Order: sequence, then C-alpha cells, then structure tokens
Amino acid sequence: MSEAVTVEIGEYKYGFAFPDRSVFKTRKGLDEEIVRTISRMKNEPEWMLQYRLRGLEAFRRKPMPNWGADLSEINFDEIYYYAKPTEDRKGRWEELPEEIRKTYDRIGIPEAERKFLAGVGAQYDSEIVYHNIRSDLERKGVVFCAPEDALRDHPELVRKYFGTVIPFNDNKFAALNTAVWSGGSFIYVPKGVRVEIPLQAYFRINLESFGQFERTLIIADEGSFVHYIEGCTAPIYSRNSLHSAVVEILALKGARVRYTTIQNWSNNVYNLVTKRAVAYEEAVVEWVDGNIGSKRTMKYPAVYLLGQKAHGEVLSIAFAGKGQEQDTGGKIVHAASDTSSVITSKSISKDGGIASYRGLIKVYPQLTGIKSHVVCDALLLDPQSKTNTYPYMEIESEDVSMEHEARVSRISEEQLFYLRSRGLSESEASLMIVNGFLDPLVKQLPLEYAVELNRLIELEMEGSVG
Amino acid sequence: MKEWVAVARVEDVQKLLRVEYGSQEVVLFRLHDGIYALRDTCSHEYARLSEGEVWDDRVYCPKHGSSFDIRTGEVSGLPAVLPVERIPVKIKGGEVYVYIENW
Amino acid sequence: MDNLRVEAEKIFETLSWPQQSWESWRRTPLEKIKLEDRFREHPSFTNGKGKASRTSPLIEEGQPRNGWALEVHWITDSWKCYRTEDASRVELYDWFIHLPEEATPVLEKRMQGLSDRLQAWNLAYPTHGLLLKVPPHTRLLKPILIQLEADGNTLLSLPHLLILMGKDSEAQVVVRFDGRKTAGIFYSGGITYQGEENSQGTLVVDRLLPSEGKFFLSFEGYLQRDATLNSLEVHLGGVLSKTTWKAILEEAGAKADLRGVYVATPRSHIEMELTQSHRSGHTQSNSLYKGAVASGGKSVFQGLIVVGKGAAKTDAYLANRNLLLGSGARADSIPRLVIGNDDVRCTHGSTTGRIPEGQLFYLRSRGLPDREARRLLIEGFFEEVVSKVPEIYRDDVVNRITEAL
Repeated sequence: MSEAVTVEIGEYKYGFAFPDRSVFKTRKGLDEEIVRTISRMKNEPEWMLQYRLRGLEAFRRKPMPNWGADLSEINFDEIYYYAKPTEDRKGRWEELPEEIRKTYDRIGIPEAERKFLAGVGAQYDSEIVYHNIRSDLERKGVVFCAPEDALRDHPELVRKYFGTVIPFNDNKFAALNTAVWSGGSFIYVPKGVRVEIPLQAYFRINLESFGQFERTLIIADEGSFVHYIEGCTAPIYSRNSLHSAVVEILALKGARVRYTTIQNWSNNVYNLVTKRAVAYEEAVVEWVDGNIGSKRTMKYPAVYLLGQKAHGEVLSIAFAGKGQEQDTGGKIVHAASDTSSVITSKSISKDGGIASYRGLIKVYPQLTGIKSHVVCDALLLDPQSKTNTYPYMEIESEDVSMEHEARVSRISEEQLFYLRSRGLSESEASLMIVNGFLDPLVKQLPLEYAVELNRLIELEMEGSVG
Repeated sequence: MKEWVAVARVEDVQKLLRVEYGSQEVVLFRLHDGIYALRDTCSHEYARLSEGEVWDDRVYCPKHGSSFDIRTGEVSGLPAVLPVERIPVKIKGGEVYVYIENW
Repeated sequence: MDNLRVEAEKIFETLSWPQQSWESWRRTPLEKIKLEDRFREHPSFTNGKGKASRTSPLIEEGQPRNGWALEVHWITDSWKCYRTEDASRVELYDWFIHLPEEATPVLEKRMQGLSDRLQAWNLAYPTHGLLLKVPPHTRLLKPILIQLEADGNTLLSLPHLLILMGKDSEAQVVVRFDGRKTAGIFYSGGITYQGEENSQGTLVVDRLLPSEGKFFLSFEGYLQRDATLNSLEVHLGGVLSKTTWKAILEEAGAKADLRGVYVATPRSHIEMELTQSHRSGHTQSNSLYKGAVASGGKSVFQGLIVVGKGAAKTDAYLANRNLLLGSGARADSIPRLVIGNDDVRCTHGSTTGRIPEGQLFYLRSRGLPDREARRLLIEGFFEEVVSKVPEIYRDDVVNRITEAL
C-alpha cells in the first residue's frame, strides 16, 4: 500500500517586507493620466508615450484569456502601477539606502558580485537603483543597462527593435506591460563579441499590491554570445501582486542567446509573462525556465526560427505546491528550412498543486529538413495533485521529423523502499528522487543557480530547518 | 483570372477602407504618397487587417499585433512570419482600381 | 421513443451550434456548413411534418452473405436483416416502432454528455434509430454488419445506433455509412455503446462519401466491470469529416483499445477527437491513430486522456502517427493529458514525418519502382491498425486505402 509522502513546505526564506520608502507612487488603478505620468517621470521621447497609450487602449479592449490558470481574483483597479523608490540611480553598492542593501544581503548579491559576475541591474519597486557594468564589457561595446537609459543613450537601436517581437496588442498582459513598463534590462552585444560571464539581474516586489512590469530587450548581433540570468524573490503579502513582464530577444545571424530564469515569487503573486525570441540564420536561442513560486504562473517562452539552420530550445522546470498553479511550456515556430527544436519540460505537483504543460510546435508550409523533439515528464507526489499536458503540433510541411512524448508518473514504491533500506528517511529519499527527476535540467544551469534551485526544492520538500 | 476592378472612389479612402469584390477581400490604405492595397487577411491567424491600426506606414493586425509594411506586404513585426499579398492599384477617373481575381 | 425524443429536444434547445471560437472547433472550416440553415431546411418532428412513426417493421429476410453472422441494411425506407442460426438470439429494434425500456437509462446517460447541438441533433430529431442488443452469454463467432445506405434523395441523415452488449457476451460489429448515392449528403450521426460486465466488443465504423459529402459522428462507449472494447474508425477521403470518439471506463477491469485509420486525400479535411476517460481505477486504455495526408489534404487529431481523482492504477496510452505524403499536406496533432491521480501510468506520443528515405532507398535498390515501394511502405505503416478489422472486411479497407493514396 502506498503512503502519501508527508512533507512540509519549508519556511519561505525570503518572506519579509520593508516599510514602503517609495519617493513617488501613482494612485491605484490605471488610466491615461497614469501612463502619461510614468512617461513624463522617465523623460521619454514622444513616440514611446504614444506607444504606451496604444498599449493602454489595447489592454482595455482585449479580453482575459479563456484558458490557462485561474486568474479570476486579479483586481486591476487595486494595483499600484508605478513607484519610484529613490532619487536616482546609484553607482556604488555603499550608496544604496540601507534597507535595500539589507534586502540584497539576504538574497546574496554581494557574494555573487564578489565572485565573478559581470554586472547586476537590481530592481526595487520598478526603478533600477543599483547598477554596475564591468569595464571590460564597456570596452567591448556591450551595452547592459536599464531600458530607460537605452532609450536615452541608444534611441535608434531601441526604436528599431522595441515591440517588433512582442507587439503592443499581442495579448492582454503584453498590452498592459506596453502601457506601464518600467525597468528591466536592455542588452546589446556587438558583432562577434562573446560575453563569457552570465549577466544577471534580481527583481523584487516590495510595495503591497504592487505590479511589476519590467521590459527586457536583448539584441545579440551577428556571431555574438550572451547568457542572461533572471532570478527573483518577493515578500509575502496579504493582497495579490501582479507580475507581467515582457522579454524580447533577437538573435541575429550566427548569434547565440541563453536566457535563464529561476522564478520564486511568494505564493500570492500572479506571474503572467510574455517571452519571445527570434532566431535568424544559424542562430541559437535557449530558454531555461524554472518556476518554483507564485500563486499562478502563465509563461510560454517562444522561439521563432526565421532563418535557415536556426535552433531553438526550451527547458522548463515547474514545481506546483499547495495552492499553486504552474501553467508553463514552450512554443517553437519553424518558418525556415533546416531548423531544429527541442522542448523538455519537467514538472512536479504536490499537495494539490496543479502543473500544466502547454506547448506549440508549428511548421509553416514548403519547408524542408525540419526536426523537432518534445518531451514532457510530470511527477505527481500525492493523490491530491494534478497535472495536465496540452501539446499542439501543427505541421504543414512534409520533410519534417516531429516527435512528442509525455509521461506521468509518481515516486515508485520500489525506489522509495530501496533508498530507505539504505538508511535515508522518507523525506530524504523523496528529495533524492525528485532531484534525480530534475537532474538533466539542473545540469544546464550555472553552478550557483543549480545550488539555489536545489536549495529551493529542498525547502519546498522538507520541513523547516532548525 | 485576374483583372482590374473598380472598388471605390478615391475620396472614400481616408486612412483605410475595406472593400469586397465577390469573395475577394481587400483593404485600401491612403499614405502620403498614394493609395495602396493589401489582401485583407492577416497571414498569422486570418483576422481582418482593415479592423487594425495604421502607424508609420504599417498596418497592425487587431488580433495579435502582427505588422506589415503597407507598400510591400512584408512582415515588419511578429507573430506573423509570412507576408501579406500586395495588390496592385491604379487610379483612373477618380476611381480606385485593384488587380484581383474576378470571383 | 417519443418521451426520450422530447427530452432530447429540450436539451437540444439549451445547447448551441458549434462555434469557431470553441477549442475543439477551431480548426474546422465551419463556414462551409451553415448548420442553422440546414436545421431549418428540414422539418422537425414537433411540427408534425416529419416521419413520427414507421409502419413497416424490421424485415427478416433469409441468410447473410458468407462470413457474416448477421447483416442489417437500411435501404430507401426500411430495415432488412439477414441472419444465421448463430445470430438467432441477437435482438434488433427500430426505435420508430419500439424501443425497449432497457435502452432508456443508457440513452439518458448519453444525453448528459452532449456538448453541442450537432451531437444532440440525432437524438432530438433522428432520421434513423436502431438498437442492436447482444444478450448475456451470447458469443458470436462471425461479425455483424450494419449498413446505412443513402437513397439518392434525402440530403440530411441523422442516424443514432445504440449497441448493448450483455454480460459475458462477445460480438464484432461493422457499421458502414454508405452515402455515395446522394451527392452533397450531410451526416450527423451518433453511436452509443454499453458494454456490461465481462463483455467483449469490437466495433469498426466506416463511411463512404460522395464528393462534397460531409460526415459528423459522435460516439460514446461505457465500459463496465471487466468489459473490453476494441474499436477502429476508418476515414478515407471525404471533403469534411469530424468525429468525436469517447470511451468511458466506468468500472475496474474495463479495457479499451481504440484505433483509427485515416487518409486525407487532396481537398480532404479529416478531424478526429478521441477521449479516453478513466472514471474508475484499475482500468486500461490504449489508443493508436495512424494517418497519411496527401498534398492539399488536412488532418487534425485531438486526443485526451482524462484520469479522475479516484482512478488509481490507471494505465493509459495514446499514440498518433502521421505520414505526410507531399508538400502542402497538413497534419495537426494535439494529444492531451488531464491527470488527477498520482498512482497511474500515462504516456502519450505523437510523431509526424514523411516516408523514411532509408526504407524507400532499400526497396528501390531491390528493384521496386518508386510508386510500388511507397505503396508497400504505406501499407506496412497501416498494418498494425488494420489488423483489428474482422477478416471478412479487411481487404475492402486495405484496397480502399490503396485507392485513396
């Protein structure tokens, strides 16, 4: 007979909030005046204000999605859409307000920075407050800054690409982001430049009922390489928070971009993100997407393969615990010949959590040499948990080799028995099996993220330490 | 069989105008340098471009924002990847003619 | 039948015609079929304009052709059946004349599951209703054929077939809709199947359409304790064909083996929606749908394995394999899983591609011309699904597959 594996969710390590020290905050709710205020506060050119307003109009017009996770409790009128926490950008770590430094001390930025990271754009309530670019990157011509700065310092680049991958009315939440975006990262890597060290950013929601709308744009010019890591935490609140980011990536000919996310929002956050990349000739884009936290996540990183011999990959890990719904997956569109794609999705559901995979492989007509492989594995840890798999394959060319498999399983009696007979406790054994299940994906992460992910899983699986 | 068909009077075309001829659906645009025409079907998910928006000589599909260059029909923004058919236009005697199938 | 029909009519009123925006109809060219118009063209029974009853009963006429245990044919305006000694205990009822009590709970169960007007249509306003009952402990060695042949005049065909398999019974049934005589025929049919304890049923459904003929069918099968159902849907050509096939494993020990064969010829649009629904634990389902799509053809396969909360020890497998035969062929495959219990084994797989070059090369190097080699490989591709067809009918299917290609 099987016993349900009784494990407890560990104390949420980052569960704390600082008193709100925002210098400026718009009133609750969203209207044209608020959008104009945001644009004015950022000193934006007219075209960006107009683009925001188009986003606002599209946001009002578009309906909520009638599929995916349950979003019925979001109240758009109760959210603060913009807050500016400090006077201006801080160039040095020591100059940050103490509270913010304390926050990042706990997450571990100083150690990380001390180690060997290139630069960190940190976000506190919508504005970049701490920012540092390493000098050798500057010398190579790599741009890594806030999108607001890019708009000011590289307007032609921004204007050329902004909104071309995810337009203002792509979906309701991309429209919202278009209207109220603030912060995020802008990265430009010149031709042939390889950024060997991962670029990172940490995000943080502090203000209660505050929405986070970062906008990231990454342009990897021909033959370049960059790896960007996004990881975030948020304190626990009584009211719901909305995180609706937009990430656009362009990998030009021969370029390679890897974008890694470890999402660990606290369990009251709605995480509705639109992420999309275009890969031109011989380019490679890899999304590594880890979803551990949030109340509801809907996120389907996409790669549009527009040039021959391009390759797209999505590696997705989702952990759905009590009260959580992780609705994630990946989308690959083959619009050129000799392109290939791989989607690997692993999910774990526990304590009634729901993990769903939603994916699309689309192959346009008159293409040749297309290869695609999708594997979805789901692990259910107890009888109350659920998993769903909704893969869509639309194949309109003949010279295609498309394979898709999905498996649902649980921790087997035999595995548990074996490990326990080796002296492990039931929860240790379960953890080991879960780690084994995730291992192929975790191997893809840079070491410190692998460590953070393992720690997070451990917290989710075991009782609190000490 | 394609032929030149009169579909509208020049003054009827303000910013954009949808016209139907038989089962053909065309959208006319007035740009600063003349009148242009495209097939009124987005190449992404078949919505009507005539219900979209025009900005900077591009038309944006109302459904997901795919954008196309009005003069050439080429894709200028995702999620569309295939171009929209450009329809030849000529103005004669105050009428707008387009070169389309006659059914 | 009338009480049931009136109930179905009420349900019909509450449902709506399928909409393009519905997920399961998103890929169907609905603008080609103007359902409301067709409904209005044809008289409903409450108006008293339709045939509310039939006068001639089911006619029993001699022996079936060699190899069949029982043949039931609808031609023009009556049912005729031909049976052997073996099939003497099989019961047949024309709904319009008499529908036995035992059909009621099953049809009521069916009506709970109706999702749109198209499905409810053949229960609210049927043009044909047939009940085939295989009594308990009756095992037929040879198969049964039920054939509905169009008369060349009636454009709208709304048949509903109810198959009741009694405890410990065994039978193979081939259902064939032959619409070739009526150009532009429109079918919206229903088949309901109930397999009682330890029954073993094999069901093959096949349709022959004229050019411009349209075919809609919804099947729902209920499997009780230790009941087994083997089914095969055959879709060869046809300008528009959409079926919903749902196997509901209600009690422990139930097993379903569901297969499909389809060839989408140029201009064909073939859609199949398959659901394997595990309501009880200790149930097993296995599905394999294989199709070939020619240039200009389109196939859509939507599969779904649903495992309910209490259905521990479910074993479910779904596979879809598509062979693309030319540029311009389109195959959509959407195999889904909705799993609510952890003690299960559920997997699904889908592959789409063209005839493997290596295999083709090998056969051609053995002297076979290209056409022959392709034909052989495609036949080999379909073999494992076609093998389930009762032998007497198998050649017919294989020949028609070859013809379609």
